Amino acid sequence: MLTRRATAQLLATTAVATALGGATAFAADKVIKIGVDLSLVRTG
Amino acid sequence: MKNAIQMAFDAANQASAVPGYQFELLVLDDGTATAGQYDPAQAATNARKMVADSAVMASIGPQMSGAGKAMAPILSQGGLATITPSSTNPDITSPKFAAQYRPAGEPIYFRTVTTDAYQGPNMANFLAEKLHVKNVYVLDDSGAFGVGVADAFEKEAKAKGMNVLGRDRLDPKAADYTAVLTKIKSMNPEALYYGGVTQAGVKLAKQAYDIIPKVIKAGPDGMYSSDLLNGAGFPACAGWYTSIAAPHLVADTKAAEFIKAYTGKFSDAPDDYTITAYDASLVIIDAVKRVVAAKKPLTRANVREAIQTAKVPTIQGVVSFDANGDLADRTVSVFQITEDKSKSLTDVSAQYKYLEVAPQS
Repeated sequence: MLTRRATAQLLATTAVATALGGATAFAADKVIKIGVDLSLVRTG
Repeated sequence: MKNAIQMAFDAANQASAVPGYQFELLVLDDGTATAGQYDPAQAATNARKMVADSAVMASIGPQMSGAGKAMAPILSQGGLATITPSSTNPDITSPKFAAQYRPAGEPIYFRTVTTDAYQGPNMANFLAEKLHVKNVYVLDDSGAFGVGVADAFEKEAKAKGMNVLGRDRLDPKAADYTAVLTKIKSMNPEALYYGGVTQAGVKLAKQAYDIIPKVIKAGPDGMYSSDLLNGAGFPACAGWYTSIAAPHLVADTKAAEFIKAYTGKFSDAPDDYTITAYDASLVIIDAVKRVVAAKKPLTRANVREAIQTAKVPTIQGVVSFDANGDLADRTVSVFQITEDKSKSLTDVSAQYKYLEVAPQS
């Protein structure tokens, strides 16, 4: 489980990752895919 | 939402939140030009694509309940859990409809917002208790979300003693709602409640401003959108009351770090559902982390079980779910559109003024 401290660290890392322009994958890491379904077409 | 989700997983990868693993997003769009908005058929196609990819361990979405109703049975058969940051129709998670929406048995549809079983009724409570509305006309946009939330609103409005003068359904692709609005005008209601999203909502707001400008107008989170601000503009959308199925998060000090990081990277301003999307990401990261830490096989079933038992500190507080996948917290927040000329027209956080938590049923 993410502790409050770990959540805070993750939030802080978001800022670092943002500053670095995104994540850097390590070659040996396995990939876990997460599906994302959103409604991106809009009319209004 | 997409940006917030990407931020969360980028951060998790950067921090090696799950040692030995990297997250990769499979981003799909259930909107189509033909539908002009979310398209249930496309949502079903997207669900099948996720299920067919054995590397997909969980998902986030959909935004819309109409898409959720199309996706849920497919995700259930594929054993793939999803967390929606904004779809609120209660049927999808209700045990009454389990055979339809979770035919494989286990709950697979989780939410970081509450449902329209609270959003619709609580707005009726707000109109009755805070604005002292005695009579109301109800519209919906024919969609799964719109019909459901309007039904829930109408039931509670009657329970609160409001006179529901009538109920009509709008065709979201129609251009002209003047006939129904002229009929509503002849009944002289104090308020109009519209259950639906902005495809019909933008046209409704414009035409209602012309025909029934003094009538109180209210809607659910489908009307909490930059699309409404941009499409209807001021003064047409001014004064509308809208709800969201979550606490008001962007003004919370707990969100400050997230908002700073978000606005440092993206040009748009985050709204409350940007944060519920980020929180959904945190729950999935936590679930995968616990599966791996427990040395269990990384399977959809184990990730689903970890989501089911989540107690994750997020920006909105500790997220946990009931036995059906619904969020334990049932806060509904009320806003009123009030023009802030110093901010961008489409800045939801600026143009929707937070009022209060809606009275619970």
